[in-house]
Amino acid sequence: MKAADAVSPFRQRLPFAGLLLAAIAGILFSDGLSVSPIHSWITLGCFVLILGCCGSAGRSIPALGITFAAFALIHAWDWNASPSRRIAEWWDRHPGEYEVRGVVAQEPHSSPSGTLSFALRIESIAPAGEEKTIAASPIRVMVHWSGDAVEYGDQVSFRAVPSRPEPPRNPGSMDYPAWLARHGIFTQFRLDPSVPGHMISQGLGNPLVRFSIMARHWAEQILGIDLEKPSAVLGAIQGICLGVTENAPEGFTEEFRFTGTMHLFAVSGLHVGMVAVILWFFFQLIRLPRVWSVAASIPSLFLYVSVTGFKDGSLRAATMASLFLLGLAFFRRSPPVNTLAAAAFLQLAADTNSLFSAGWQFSYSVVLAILLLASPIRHRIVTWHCADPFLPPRLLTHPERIRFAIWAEFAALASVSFAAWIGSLLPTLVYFHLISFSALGANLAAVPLAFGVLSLGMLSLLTGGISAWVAGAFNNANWLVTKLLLLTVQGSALLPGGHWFIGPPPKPYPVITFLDLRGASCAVIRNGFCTTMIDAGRKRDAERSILPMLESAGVNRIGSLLVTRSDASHLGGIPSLRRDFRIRDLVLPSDPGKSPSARAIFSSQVHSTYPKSGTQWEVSPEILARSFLAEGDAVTLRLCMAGVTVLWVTRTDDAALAHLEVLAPEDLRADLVVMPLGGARMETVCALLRRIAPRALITPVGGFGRNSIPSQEWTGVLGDLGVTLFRQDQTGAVILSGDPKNPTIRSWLPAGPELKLNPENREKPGPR
Amino acid sequence: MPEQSEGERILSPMRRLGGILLDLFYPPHCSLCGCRIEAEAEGEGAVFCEPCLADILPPPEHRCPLCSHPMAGLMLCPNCDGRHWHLETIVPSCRYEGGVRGMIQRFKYGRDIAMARPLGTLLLRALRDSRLEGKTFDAVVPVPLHPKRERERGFNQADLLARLLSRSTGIPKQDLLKRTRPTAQQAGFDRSHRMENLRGAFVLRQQLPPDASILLIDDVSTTGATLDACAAVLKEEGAAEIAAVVVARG
Ligand SMILES: [Zn+2]
Ligand SMILES: [Zn+2]
Repeated sequence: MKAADAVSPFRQRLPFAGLLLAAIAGILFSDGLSVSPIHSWITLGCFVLILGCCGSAGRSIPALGITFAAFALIHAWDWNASPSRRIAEWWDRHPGEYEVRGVVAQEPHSSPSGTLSFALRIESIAPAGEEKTIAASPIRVMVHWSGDAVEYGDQVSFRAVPSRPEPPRNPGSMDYPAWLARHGIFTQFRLDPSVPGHMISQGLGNPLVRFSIMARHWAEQILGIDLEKPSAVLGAIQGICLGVTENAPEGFTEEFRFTGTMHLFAVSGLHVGMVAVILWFFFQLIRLPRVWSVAASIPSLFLYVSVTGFKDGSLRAATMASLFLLGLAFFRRSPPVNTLAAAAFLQLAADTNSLFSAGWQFSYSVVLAILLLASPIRHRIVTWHCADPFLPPRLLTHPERIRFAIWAEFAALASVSFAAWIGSLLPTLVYFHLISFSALGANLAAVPLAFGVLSLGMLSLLTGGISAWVAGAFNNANWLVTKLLLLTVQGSALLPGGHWFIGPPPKPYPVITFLDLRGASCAVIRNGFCTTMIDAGRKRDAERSILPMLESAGVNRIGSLLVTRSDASHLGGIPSLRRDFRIRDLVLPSDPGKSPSARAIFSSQVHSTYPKSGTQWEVSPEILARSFLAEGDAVTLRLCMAGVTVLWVTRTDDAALAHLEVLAPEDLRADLVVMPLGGARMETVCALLRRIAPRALITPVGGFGRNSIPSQEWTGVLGDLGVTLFRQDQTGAVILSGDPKNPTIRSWLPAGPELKLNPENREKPGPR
Repeated sequence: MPEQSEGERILSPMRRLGGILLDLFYPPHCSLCGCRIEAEAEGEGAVFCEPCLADILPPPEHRCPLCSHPMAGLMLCPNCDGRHWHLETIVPSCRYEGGVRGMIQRFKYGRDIAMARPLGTLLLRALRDSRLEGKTFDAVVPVPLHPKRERERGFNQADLLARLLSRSTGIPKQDLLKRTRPTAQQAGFDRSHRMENLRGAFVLRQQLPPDASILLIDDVSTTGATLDACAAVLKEEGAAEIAAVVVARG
């Protein structure tokens, strides 16, 4: 007799699969309608086509049609017509300062700099200095707070200027406004510390959410008893038992991402399943009747999900477990695929925007793959090495029997791991731009270890309320298991060829991306599959902007990294880069400078130094570089490729610029100059620019000190010289594409300028 | 009565909605092969597909009229000959083989509670047996399980079957009996041992109505000793007539 999951899904009745398909089609249809109607109609066409092909029963078409229409309408209301979006559009037309009162709708998240941010449910808004309230609908906004300490459920009031969340400034960075929009937030308020906000009253939020935040803090504390904090191991324990939060250290999940074991955290739902089993046995132990056990288990399960922060994976697992438990009460069982589809459907009905969340997509595609593929894969693996089916089991020797049993266990584990890998292939590619081969092996060891971590964590939580000593003992055991897990994952992340970043195919000509790092500097030159970098930004920039850019571009190794200056904002990101990428040649200035962080990098990283000042050398095929020593800790670079010349000037004080003035004009001429204008003297720079005769100038903006922001006069001054200015506070990243037919320089942000470097334009009036 | 029809008018659409929801979340599938079956099917068609249903065979036609042991002739089988039964008859609904055997094992030893519905549906076949035709019963009584064993298994399989039978026939289910001793596993004992093993294992839990006719329910019966021990207690307390139905005779 076969179990229900061994039956092909085509022989099963899966009513929710059809309904889910209709719901997804409806949401996609209404989502695309305002932006790209073509996509909407294609979606509708595909949906109708699938209906026609699988059209199992003509009488289900009305139900599917109604579902499609209902989800299209709900999503249109949620997405296109939400009051939060409408007021954001109104604010675009009516800028100014507003008096806002509302309730903190989320546990405030604290940034490394100490600022609290949270979503706010608005109660009333009035223009500053006026009495009349302009809106009090259910509006949500993001607040970057300064003022009294606040927590979830506090009623606050403040005065600030609404703005749109800042779009990503570099390619590959996370699209924060889009992410916020999917959570119903279209506006942010950044409070000025000189006009702080006030807390009016406390305890207004949903008591259940308040309770779960409290419970989470309690659980985090219990799991940390007797352990060093904060540490990567503790972070991993808390992440696996309670889901990853914003408090996880930066770069902590990298190795898990590379080895395809990320699902152990946010998306697995493994912990929820375990809690369900524990609850069930507990209720059976106290001899609760079956129906009552079901009635008690389901709310407890969702309470646990709320403690873990309503992650998509845990919600999915809790819904599936609840449906299974309800089936016990009704003596019914559903094909697992139908239960999965039902959970997905219910989650979409609760919030249509979850369709666009990475967690939702990961979670469902991984579980679907496990349900569909694990069983056939296991069957295939088992038959490689199993007893002759016609041989009576009695004739097997004892060691043979043990060997076959171990092989069968291995097959079960390997099949689930392989199926999960297949399920995560597409979302990993879309969101992390990578294919991980080490995942196949890493999961085999990591999944059982994670199960151990979870069990020990549960034991610690169960005993933590009674005895801190016992919980501490469990935590120490857990430390060991988690350490083992981290070592496994880190070890497989280091495997050469274990993971590959996949990006769009490279252009047949060089492309330079000048990243906007608010004062720090970094440029990535892509020439075919060769990647050359200039500078590495600060450590924080590397984690937030440089690595995502490289990963999304499909870079897997860096040929040369040329550092133009020995300070933290030019080489602070090197350790992070070295961790995730192989750098063939790291070139540092000869003088380590005065900054301690720079000195640490000089002493710890294998590197070479620049050739003699003024020598030309080939950095990578078709890219010629020439470096001029400025002060010893700073270097001026001139790069020639595909007929475009870039001059990279690091220091712009008079002393540093003096050495450029002695160079011959043909050594200086460039199409594009990169130079920080803040703090530079206008006359000196203009004199230099007349000799360089560039078409464009990129200046980084930001950082510390009054010299970091160039004055607005520069645009006019440079315009008189025939130079287009790319201020990175307006342009974000700047991208130079060296297409020989049509070389262009364009800004990443739509507001910035764009310049065509056509050769015929080149001859037109140069410097005056 | 008008009140009842009023309640019925509200309840029946709700029940229908409940049925639709149940079919959405737990779509009907064959309990044996796991393939889909028609949503509108009723009775056995709602739990088995047609090919599987054709494989579930009725008990052999020639059997002992008392304990249903397969044999030719109209006489009692060697098992029943000369034995004093407290039961009128034991009626199985199917043969203990193939799919039915697998389902019963999954139900009892695999703790697979979803097997209750298909087995409960099969049990209804027994009521159409010629030996039970025309008879009416006052109560359906499941063979009890010792509380310790019930806790191990999570449920009493006979009780679930009795509940389903009661729901589809309208005969009230009554838990009249209690098991006082966790009797050792029955399989593997011979008949006299079984009788010894069972004596005094059951007691009455509550008073039964005078001259009641009772239908005992169990999943499988081998020699009928357990059923008879239950019947003995009931008979002693004044039951008029006792018959038993089981899914299969092992
Ligand atoms: Zn079947
Ligand atoms: Zn007989």
